[in-house]
Amino acid sequence: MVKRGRVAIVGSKTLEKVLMPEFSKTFLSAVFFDPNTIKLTAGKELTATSNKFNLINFDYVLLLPDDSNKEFYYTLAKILEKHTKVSIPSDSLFGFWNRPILLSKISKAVPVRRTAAISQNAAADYIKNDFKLPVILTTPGGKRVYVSNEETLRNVLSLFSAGHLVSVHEPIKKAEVHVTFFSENSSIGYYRVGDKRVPNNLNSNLVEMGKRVRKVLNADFLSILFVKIDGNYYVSTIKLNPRFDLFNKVLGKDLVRIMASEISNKIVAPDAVAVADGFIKKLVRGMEKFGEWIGNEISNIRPSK
Amino acid sequence: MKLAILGPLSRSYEEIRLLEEATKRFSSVSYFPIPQVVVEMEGESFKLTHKNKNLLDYDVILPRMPRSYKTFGTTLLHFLNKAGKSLPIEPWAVVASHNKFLTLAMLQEGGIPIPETYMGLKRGVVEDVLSTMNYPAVLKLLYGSMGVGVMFADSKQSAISIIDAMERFNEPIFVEDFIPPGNVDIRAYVINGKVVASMKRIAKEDERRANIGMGGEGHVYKLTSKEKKLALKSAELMGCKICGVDIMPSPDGPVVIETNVNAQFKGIEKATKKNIAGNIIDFLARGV
Repeated sequence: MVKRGRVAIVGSKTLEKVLMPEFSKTFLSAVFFDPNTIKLTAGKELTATSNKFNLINFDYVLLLPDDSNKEFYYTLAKILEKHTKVSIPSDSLFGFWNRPILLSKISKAVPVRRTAAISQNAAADYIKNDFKLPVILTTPGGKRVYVSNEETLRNVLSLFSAGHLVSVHEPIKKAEVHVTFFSENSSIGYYRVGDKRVPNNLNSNLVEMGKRVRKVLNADFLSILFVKIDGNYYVSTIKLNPRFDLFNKVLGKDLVRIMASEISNKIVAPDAVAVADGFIKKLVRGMEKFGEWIGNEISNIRPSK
Repeated sequence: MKLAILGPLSRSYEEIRLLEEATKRFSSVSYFPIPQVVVEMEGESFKLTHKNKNLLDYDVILPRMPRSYKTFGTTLLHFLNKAGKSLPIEPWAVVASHNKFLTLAMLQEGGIPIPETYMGLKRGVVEDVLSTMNYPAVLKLLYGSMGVGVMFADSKQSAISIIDAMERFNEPIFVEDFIPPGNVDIRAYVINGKVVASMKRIAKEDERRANIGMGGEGHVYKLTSKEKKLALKSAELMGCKICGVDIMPSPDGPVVIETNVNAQFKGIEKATKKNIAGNIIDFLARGV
């Protein structure tokens, strides 16, 4: 296989040994970056460097953020996306730390359960009256807290100062849970029952929903957790960082290989298009100039007296 | 027309002035304290309510988004935008404007001169910069405002101490070249593509920060044509039709150091005697 392209992966250090063996085999250059090692510079030029590599110069950047340093990833994505291909656009990335915005974006594509977003002050009475306890609160840090009484509710909310975002929704009593992975060419998943994980061919409904969510967020890779409630599927969680080990264990699917292969296609094919596009633009410009020249020559021809 | 002002729980001079001016021009004016608004969504439908009033029923919305409300504020603006409301501030502008590095990066991409700036998550990332930069260096909290969180280091050792403290509190490390003389800057107040007022801010004695909140004094100042162009272009790049742009004169020409999506105007109204609140309300009344 001919190695092509330069790929950067940004994620926590633990992912390096999971991803690098396959990525090193697939690409001309594959470099892993711990976000703690990246320096952003603005001024004379805009760079995102680590160990003398500038991420802007890579053909593709795969972002695998966790819950920490979320705004750093957002900042990085916003800078990089103007210069190179990034696995997810920054405005979608933002939604991963702002649940109401994420749900709002995907509501175009899939059903979304009733959710409230509150900023702590107004919260307790509203939740008691409109939602009814128990509820699940998703805290600003992304943690989910099951709250069944008013005292706990007020205690949890008092931990956060006004202006923070807390999401509220009703707990799910019993639901089928499907853990899935979607990319351009893959739609796979397994079914979770308690602690057991069972391979599962995704039904057409789930496949369609996953594809729509991926399209709306314009993300190259997504891991989506669906819950089935009263016969309907809903998106519970979306992650950019799939559980590579579990997909391998349960389904025998190597997500790393899938991702490397698809990234490789994205780098190669668009380059050809870009070359053709550049050539066509030059050709059109050349013809325009020729047209201008002809026009000038004609206007210079004076009728003889 | 009905106007809603979306602002902080405690109204400051700015919100009070805006309400004063708004009641002269709008048939109905309501104040929505950001922390008391609730967003409810189900499927594709949603509402944004406070005490049985729905923000979506208002014709014009004026967001006043302090840094502490940026996450929830961005959420509210996202839904308002989705509902088709014309806003004087793009939803993403709240996040971008409150992130000092991102602001500078976006300005640079738009061709605006900015100070040399560095950002990282750990000390080791910026240590090479600390060895070569001219001192004093400027270190800032990424999400500081009104001069709070702006620190000066007169030596590499001081810089390292400050950075260690930032790291200890999990703050991103933001380092900027100092622009002499450092105790003077210019604030341009931009509304809908026009500079409506500008002032020079001079830091008080023994202070390097010229912010009015830090005790700086404002003096009326006429922008040069270059400064004016920078101010207008900066506001446009940051997606803000109402924007405070901070410019520093430098030996190489003016540089933009910051944009403010929630710019205060008490100091500039006092210095210039211009009715900034009235100008903002006029702009909103004409249609955003």
